[in-house]
Formats: sequence, structure tokens, C-alpha cells
Amino acid sequence: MKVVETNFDADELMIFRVRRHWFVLTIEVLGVLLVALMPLVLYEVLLILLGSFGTDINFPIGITFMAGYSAWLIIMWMMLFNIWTNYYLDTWMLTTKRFIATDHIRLFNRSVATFRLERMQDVTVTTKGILPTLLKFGSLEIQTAGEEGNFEIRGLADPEELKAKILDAAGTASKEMYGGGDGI
Amino acid sequence: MIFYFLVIFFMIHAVVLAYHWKNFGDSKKVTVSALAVYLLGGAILFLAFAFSIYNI
Repeated sequence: MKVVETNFDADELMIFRVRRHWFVLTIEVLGVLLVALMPLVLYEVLLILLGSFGTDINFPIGITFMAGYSAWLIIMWMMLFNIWTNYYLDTWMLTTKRFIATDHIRLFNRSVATFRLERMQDVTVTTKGILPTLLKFGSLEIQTAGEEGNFEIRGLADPEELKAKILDAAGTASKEMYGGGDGI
Repeated sequence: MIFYFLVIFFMIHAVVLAYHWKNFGDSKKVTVSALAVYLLGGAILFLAFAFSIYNI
């Protein structure tokens, strides 16, 4: 994130950046594809119904449907890229000093939450269900002291590894700040 | 009429997406590639739309 990275301290380094699991994106894309294909099914049903009633159609139904369906596909194409944009711009960044959560809710609506690692109190990982267990994705909850409150990230790829990295970075940050214990 | 409305809507959407990718994305390469795919896919769909309208 260029906007976020320009606000880094001079001695602050990015450890890693993570996005949601690919499965979350795939499910949303499949939903759009299903909706995109629906007019084809409806068209076939309409043709069968018109055929069974023996209705005489005196306008080019095929090409009219194709015009409408092309317009429909253009709208679906735009929706697909909205979904991808939400996925691509939703990122979580761990630096040597902070954890930065960028939540891209929709176009022109995003929030960036930050907390310093030494203020972190607890990290909880939840993996619920068969698919999340097999595909290694789940949610991660971070409790912090003070005004920042709690962070919850859902559909995260490999949350266990992320937890380990956050705890490791938090330990190092606490040692640097307090010069001793791990502070967690 | 619907065709021109959709073209304008699509172009505004493309500009909005490009603005978001450029300002909040982490890679220029991804931004340019995504925009190219988006515009190319859109162009194909608009050609199909124009062809169908022309033949009605």
C-alpha cells in the first residue's frame, strides 16, 4: 500500500503482507458466474414454453436475447472486477513496529486500522468447518490494549503461520521497547 | 440509447477502478495488467452487444 508505506517510521520495515484465502475469492466469483449464466437457462425455458404453447413469434427472439445477454454480461464483468478489487485491496500488513489492517469495504469506502505491536495482548485463531481445515484458512482475532480494541480478520490464508509471525514480531518489538521480557 | 449509457457507465467504472488500483494497490504491474484485462474483456462484450443491436 503506497499510501500506508509512506507513513512508515524511518527504521520501520515491512515483514509481510497477506490477503484473504483464494477460496473466499473463488466462492464470490462462482456466485457471479452463476448469476451470469441464469439468463441462458431462462431463455431455454422460455423457448420450451413458447414451443409447447405453439405461440407464433414475429420478431427475431434469438438476436434480441443476444443483445440483452451481452448487456447483462457487461454488468457481470463489472461486478467481477469489483469483487477482485475488494479482494486485492483488502490487505493486512505486519511491520517491525505495527500491524496495519486495510479493509476495502467497497469503492470509495475503506478503513485503515493500525496498532503498535507492543500494545497487543492476545491472538486467537479459529478454523471452523471441513473446507477451512483442509484448505488452511480461518479467522484471526487480535486483542489490543487501549483504544484500538479488537481486530477480527476472516477468511485469512494460513492464520496459524500469521499468528506465529505476529507473536514473534511483537516479542521483538517489546524487547526493543522495554529492553527485556516479551510483553505478551 | 442503452448502449451509449452502458459505454459511459463502463468507462466511469474503469476510471474509478484504475484510481483505486493505482492509489491503494501494491504493484504497478498488477494495476496495468488488471486494467488491460478489464478493458479488453469489456471491448469484446461491447462488440458482441453492438453486433446484436445492429442485427435486430
